Amino acid sequence: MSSDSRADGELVRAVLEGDRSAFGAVVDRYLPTVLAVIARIVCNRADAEDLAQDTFVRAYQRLGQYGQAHSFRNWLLKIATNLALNHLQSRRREQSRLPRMIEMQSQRSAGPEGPQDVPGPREWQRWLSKLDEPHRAAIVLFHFQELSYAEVAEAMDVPLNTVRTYLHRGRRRLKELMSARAVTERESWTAVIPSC
Amino acid sequence: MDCRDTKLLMDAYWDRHLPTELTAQVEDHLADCPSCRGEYGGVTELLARPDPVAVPAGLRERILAAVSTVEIQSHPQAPAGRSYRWWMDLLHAPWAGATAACLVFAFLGWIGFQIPVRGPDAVSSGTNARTAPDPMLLAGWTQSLAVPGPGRALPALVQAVAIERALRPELPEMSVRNRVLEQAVEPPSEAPPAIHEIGRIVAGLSTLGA
Repeated sequence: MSSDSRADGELVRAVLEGDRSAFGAVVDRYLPTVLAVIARIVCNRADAEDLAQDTFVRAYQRLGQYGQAHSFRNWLLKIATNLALNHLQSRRREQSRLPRMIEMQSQRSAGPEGPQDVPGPREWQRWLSKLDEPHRAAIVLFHFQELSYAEVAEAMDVPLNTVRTYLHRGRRRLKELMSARAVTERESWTAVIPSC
Repeated sequence: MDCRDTKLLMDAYWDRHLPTELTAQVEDHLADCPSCRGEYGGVTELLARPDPVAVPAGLRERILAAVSTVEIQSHPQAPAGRSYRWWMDLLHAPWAGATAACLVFAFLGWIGFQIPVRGPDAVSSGTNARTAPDPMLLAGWTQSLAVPGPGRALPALVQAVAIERALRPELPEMSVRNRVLEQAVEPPSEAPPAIHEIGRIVAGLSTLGA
């Protein structure tokens, strides 16, 4: 991977002027962030990789619409978030149409060595996967990417107060899930983070 | 800081809204208090230290290969998410409903205030208090809208009454009204007064109180 030190705006200008290789530097710079955001929202590694690819393809196609006054990273995360949420929405529709097929698929992917799961030493993804999708997206963007309220609102296309509500409800739900598990198993919270 | 304070501050702490000193106090309390740590520590730990997501080998090349098959769009299209409309921000604003209601009431109030009508009570008591629109005025407007032809002069007639009342609030209401009606409506065989004649009527009325 190359380490291009040019600023985002310069890279975008270079791409718009015909330098396709400059987009490689953009991918190098933001692929880990984009993949992490999508993986945490969709909770599925294979889908996350496909959606990360779609994010960069779409960003490339619409590079002319990027306003230099805004953060390129946030613009990219907005595309990634919308693609991830739309993907979950369409997946939910498919699940409602084909319950048996999805049931079989989930049984296959539920194995301990399942390649679908996002790996991680603490396997926290299971907790997040229990949240509603918008709540999960807001938590990923605000807490994991450290975006501000306004930036999360822009990325998710929702009002600021809605972001506040999503975060509040998401954290409350996480707390309830963790408390319930801790009480049930009579263990401390450090010991109950589930494994995938 | 005790457990009650911590409970109150946890959302602000998670929202990164607390000043440094209070943030440190919350973290100290979480470290020292098993009860609060059991309640909030798990979420705090989860939100503070997300595990990294490794980029698989080959994904970068896959993305660049996909990008090489597309072109930058020359014409602006809708952004990736839902299309943005500036007025949607206004609709979502928490004060949108109250502002709209205030504007509607202010407009209605302004309309009402533009009709300088004094009710019979105000006239008889000699005050200039504005009251509800005079039934005759309303009837005049209604009639003028409902009846075509000569009746179209009625709006101007009604305006003449209203203007005269504004100019001469001290005049008895009935005398103004009758005077106008006598001059404008009485001759049935002749054509009704043209609009330009209303100016003359108003000018004549304005001398009534002199």
